[in-house]
Amino acid sequence: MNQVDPYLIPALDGVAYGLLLFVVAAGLVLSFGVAGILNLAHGTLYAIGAYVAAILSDGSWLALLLALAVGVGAATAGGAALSGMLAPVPRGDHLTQALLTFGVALAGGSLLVMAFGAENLPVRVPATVDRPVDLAGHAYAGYRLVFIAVAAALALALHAVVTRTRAGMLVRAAVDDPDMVACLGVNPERVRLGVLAASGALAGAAGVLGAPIIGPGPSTAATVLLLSLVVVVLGGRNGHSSVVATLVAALAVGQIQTLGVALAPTAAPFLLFAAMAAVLAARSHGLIRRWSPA
Amino acid sequence: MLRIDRLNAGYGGGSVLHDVDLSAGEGRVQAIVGRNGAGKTTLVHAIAGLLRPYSGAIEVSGVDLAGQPAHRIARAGVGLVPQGRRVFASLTVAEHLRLATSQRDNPIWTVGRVLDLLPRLAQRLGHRGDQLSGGEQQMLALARALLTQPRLLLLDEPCEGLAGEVAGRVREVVAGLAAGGMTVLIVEQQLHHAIRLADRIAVLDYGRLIADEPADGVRADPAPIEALLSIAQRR
Repeated sequence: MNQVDPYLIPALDGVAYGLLLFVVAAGLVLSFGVAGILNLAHGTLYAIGAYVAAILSDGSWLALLLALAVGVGAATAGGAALSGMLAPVPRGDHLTQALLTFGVALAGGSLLVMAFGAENLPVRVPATVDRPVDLAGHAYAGYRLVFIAVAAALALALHAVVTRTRAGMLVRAAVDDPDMVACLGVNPERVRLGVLAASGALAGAAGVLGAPIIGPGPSTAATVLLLSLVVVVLGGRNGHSSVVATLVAALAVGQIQTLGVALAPTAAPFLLFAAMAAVLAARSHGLIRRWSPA
Repeated sequence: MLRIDRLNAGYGGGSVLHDVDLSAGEGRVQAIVGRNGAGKTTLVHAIAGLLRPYSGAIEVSGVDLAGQPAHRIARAGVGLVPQGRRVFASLTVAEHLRLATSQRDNPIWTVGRVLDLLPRLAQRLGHRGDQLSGGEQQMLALARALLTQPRLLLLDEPCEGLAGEVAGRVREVVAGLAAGGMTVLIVEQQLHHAIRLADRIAVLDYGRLIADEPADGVRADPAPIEALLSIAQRR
């Protein structure tokens, strides 16, 4: 067994964790970068997806697909509802946005606990992938490998949408100059609705698919929101975070949370926030400055 | 075509424009000149819907657009070439043109026609907005506005920071647009930029229109307008 071997599984876990955070944080980046909305209810949209997965999962692929449809639909509707609630709030008024969405997050969290109880719920994955896979002599959860593949495909699809489609152009243009987008005849209200709905869809998808990794429970929304905010800060604030920058930041956070624990168990709890503080101190705009297609 | 009646506008409750009256017929070029801070850009933003006026009317082809959001005003046929160009830094020229292309049936301005008018852009299709020179950015801002199919084109200091030859090309293109029937409202700080192009020249000072004269008269004897601008500058 070589020196790298003990860290293979934590490193792989870090990839899965990082990709999960990427899918969630990409939604947060969209809502902040394009619509200018600091959505503190984003973690709650993830939790909705995770609870749906827990309720509907029965170990079959059909149940997982059904959970995906219901969870994504519910979170998309949640995102659209947030857009409606935030419509009267001016674009730059982040304090009011934060207070309103934080209130929604608290109320949503309480409703989820009332509906599903104060315990963490178990989530069953499809039986065919609910078994360990041999990786260089180590047993590794089959579902996590599937999740890595699916989340990587989602990341590629998101990159393609942002760089290749008219909707993606609109997103990038709105990050650069929303007023000029309006002067092209594009209704900014519809852009905001679309972005928050898409952001909700990403959170919902992450919640359903990631429920076996960050499962549904009373603290799920807060945990996911906090980690997503760290990713957004590391990837780049001020609406200039790119898909690639968000992915790099998410993978870094994933590694700190998993490989970091394996390498430095006592320092691990502080590593994440130390990294965030260091980035903020050195580069207040994040690791990578501007939205770039690549 | 454009009629502005007793327009009052400003920011955060403070007034910048005071009872501005202005009109421009179809295919005419109305210039607004004034010192820095006179309210020229505020006027353009109020017409384009980027600033909600306190009171007054802004009629385009007989429809009052005052207070309408920017996207509705754009769809009503008002195109904006803003001060500083404001091209999208992360979009290529081709993406700008694709994004701005109107979804209407039988558009007058197509990407092909815009590239015929501004051929330099055809050589820069793959370049991002922030990779263009000032002149190229101005051409792109103009192309972007044309693709929204405007009947009224607002140009806010289009020659600012451009070399003489490039500024001349911008003026040439704008003159051609007006000759084709488009109404143009052009804002300039320098009288000599406006005087070559305009049919009428108005002077804005401290948010009030203090003169509005036929350009032929100003070309023949620019002294009275220059004196007004000079007085405004010294205040």
